[in-house]
Amino acid sequence: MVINLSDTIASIQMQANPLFPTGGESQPWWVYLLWIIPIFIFMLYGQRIQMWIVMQDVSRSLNKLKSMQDNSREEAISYIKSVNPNLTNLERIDMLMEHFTITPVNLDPYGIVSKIQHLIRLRDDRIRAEVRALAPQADEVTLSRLENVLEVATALHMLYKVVRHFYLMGKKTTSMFFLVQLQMIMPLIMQSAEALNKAIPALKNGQPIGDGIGPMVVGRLMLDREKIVIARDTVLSEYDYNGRRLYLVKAKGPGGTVGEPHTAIEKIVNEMGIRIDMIIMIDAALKLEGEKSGEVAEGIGAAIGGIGVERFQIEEIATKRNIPLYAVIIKQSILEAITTMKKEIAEAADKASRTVFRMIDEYSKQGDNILIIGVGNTLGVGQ
Amino acid sequence: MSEDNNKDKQHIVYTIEQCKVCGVKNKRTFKVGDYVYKDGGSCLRCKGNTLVIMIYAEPINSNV
Repeated sequence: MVINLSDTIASIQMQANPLFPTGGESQPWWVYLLWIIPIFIFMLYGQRIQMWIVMQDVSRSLNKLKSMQDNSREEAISYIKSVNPNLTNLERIDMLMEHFTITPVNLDPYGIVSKIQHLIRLRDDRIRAEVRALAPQADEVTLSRLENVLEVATALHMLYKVVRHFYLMGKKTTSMFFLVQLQMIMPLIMQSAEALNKAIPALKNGQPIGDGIGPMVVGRLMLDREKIVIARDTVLSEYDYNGRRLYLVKAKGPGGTVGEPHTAIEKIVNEMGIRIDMIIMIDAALKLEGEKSGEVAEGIGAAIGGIGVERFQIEEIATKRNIPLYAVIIKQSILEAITTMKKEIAEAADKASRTVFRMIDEYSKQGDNILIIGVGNTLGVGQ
Repeated sequence: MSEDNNKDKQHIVYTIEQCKVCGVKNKRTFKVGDYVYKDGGSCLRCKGNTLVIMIYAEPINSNV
């Protein structure tokens, strides 16, 4: 049997013709219904359909977050067990992951920085004591790594809980307001969560992370020089360069700590009574999309992240004593900052170092005392 | 853009040691316990002491 293709197409066109009226001829009633009913459905249920799509989207991300949270908890437990095989009380780890800090009231912001600093120090002490109780036989470096891994697990746990809260609130109240807001910020939350999840192997193995580039630059200058502990987990070295005296400060490596550079500056200036003529801070900085990782830039101001306490204190001392405050930054993404250092970032240490010495030569004079601070987590970086 | 392309690639971590005497660099895979500015093994060329100067991650199929 021979089928004529042109005849077949013509017959389909004739059958479908009532659905796409060309005007002129009268149409059967059901054709009009076919167009009007969907319009009413979308008018009445459009928002619910949209909400269902948003909920599916958020739910997928939430499941992914849950698996990352579970993975980080398992990783933390396995790491602690590798240090302390006798550990049986897992409840203590869960308690630690639920640990919280209540920020001071800010109705009257006067003096809030010292209050925040007090609470942060208290929290750090508490967490360190808890980690020590989980692995009493661990050395300081292992304890700091354990602390880092638990911090990541806690951060992922918190992200999961907050996202789940808003998701369930949206579901319960059938409010588009919650769900759409959540859907809009979900890519940023997932980016942070994935970065945290990928940071765990580096933290467990004690590999330097991108954020450690500042301590890496300063650590090299400290080699074969006497180092004194100037503040908690923070070391100081002195270095004579071209008629200037350089005071080098970094967190004490190779453990995973950021030290207390702000306390170190305070001690150097106020307690030791050293006249500082210039401060240079070297730190990793988040790059903008399109910028190259490992690019080095110089600027003015206190290059230090965190909640703001450290920056406040450094700015305070610099302003009171009229000390010029310079910054050298090494650009990288959030993922690069908390995962094993990439080659292009490690290689930027040389360029950052050259930039620092050029700044010393150009911005200072012989006889000056210059404070150079390597800011960041010194995991896997000694001195 | 290249970063996005490399985002999900597997990485291998290398330790770079440099001889304190002759300056020759040696690249090897990272071992747990390595850290930057740790005294490394002896130099392959002059048997002098080496220093770990870098630890970094590279994509497995990197040609660099």
